[in-house]
Amino acid sequence: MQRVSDYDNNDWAAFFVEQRHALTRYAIALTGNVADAHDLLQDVMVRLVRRANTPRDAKPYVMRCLRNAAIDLRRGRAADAAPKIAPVFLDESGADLRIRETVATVQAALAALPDRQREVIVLKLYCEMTFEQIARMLAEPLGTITSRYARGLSELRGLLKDEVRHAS
Amino acid sequence: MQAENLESMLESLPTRSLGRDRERELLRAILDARSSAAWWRRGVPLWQTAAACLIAACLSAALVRGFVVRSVVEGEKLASHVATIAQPVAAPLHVHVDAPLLRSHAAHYRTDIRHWGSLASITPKGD
Repeated sequence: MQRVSDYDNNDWAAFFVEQRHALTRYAIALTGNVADAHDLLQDVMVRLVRRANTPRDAKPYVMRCLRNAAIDLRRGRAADAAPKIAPVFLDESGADLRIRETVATVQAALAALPDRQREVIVLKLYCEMTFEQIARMLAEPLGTITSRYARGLSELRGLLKDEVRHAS
Repeated sequence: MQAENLESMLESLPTRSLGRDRERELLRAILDARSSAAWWRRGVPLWQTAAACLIAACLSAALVRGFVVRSVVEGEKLASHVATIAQPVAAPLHVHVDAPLLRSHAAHYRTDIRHWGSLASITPKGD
C-alpha cells in the first residue's frame, strides 16, 4: 500500500482518496453531522491545495488543520481548546438490531469520556493514526497520548463490559 | 477482559461515510483548486525549474555577448573615423589681420601661424 510520504509533493488528490474514510470520520466527529463535515473537509482541503505542497507526513498536518478549522467555526473557544468530539461517526442506521444497540451503547460510553481521552481514542481507532502521529498532530508528548489512550480504554472497558463479553 | 478485544470490538462497528456523490464532489473541488492554484505553488519538479533557469541564463548570456560585440565594433569604427578627420594640418594656415601694426605697413596682411608657440613669461631684469 502506498504511504503518504511516498506521494509526489503535490498529490493532495491521491492523499484524499487514500485517507478519505479517516478524514470523514474525524470531520463528522468534529461537526456532528455529514453535511457540515463535507463543508469542513472541502474548505480545509481546497485551502491546503492552494497554499502548499503535501508535507512529508501529511496526515497529522491535515487532521490538525481540520481540528483548527472546527475550533474556528465555534467562535469563543481558545485556539488550543479541545474541540467537541461527538461519536456520531458511528453508523446506527444499520438493519441489524443487535449492531444498532451496540452502536448506541458505544456512542453513549464514548460520550461519557473526557473530551481529550475521547479524541485520542477516536483518532487511534477510527482515523487509523499511530500514537506518534497523534502526538505530532496535538503537539503533545508521546507518553501523554499513550497514557490518555490507556485511561480512556480502561474507562470504556468498565462502561462496555457486557458488549465486550458478547463480542468475545 | 483483554484490551485487544475491546479495541477490535470498537473498530468493527460500522461508521458513516460522506457517500459517493459527496466524495466525488470533494475530489473534483481538490482537482479544480489545484489547477487554479498559482504556478509557483504547484510543486514544479526540480529538474524543470533547473532547465528553465539554464535556458534563461543562456539567453541572457547570448544577448549580453551580442551587445558587447556590437559596442566594440561601433567603437572601432568611431575611433578610425576620428583618426581620419584628425590629421595634422599640412597646408599653411593664414590669418588675415586687418589692424596695421605700423603706419608703413599695408592695411592688412597675411601671416602663417603654424609655428607659433606660446610666449615665455617675461620677468623684470635684476630680479
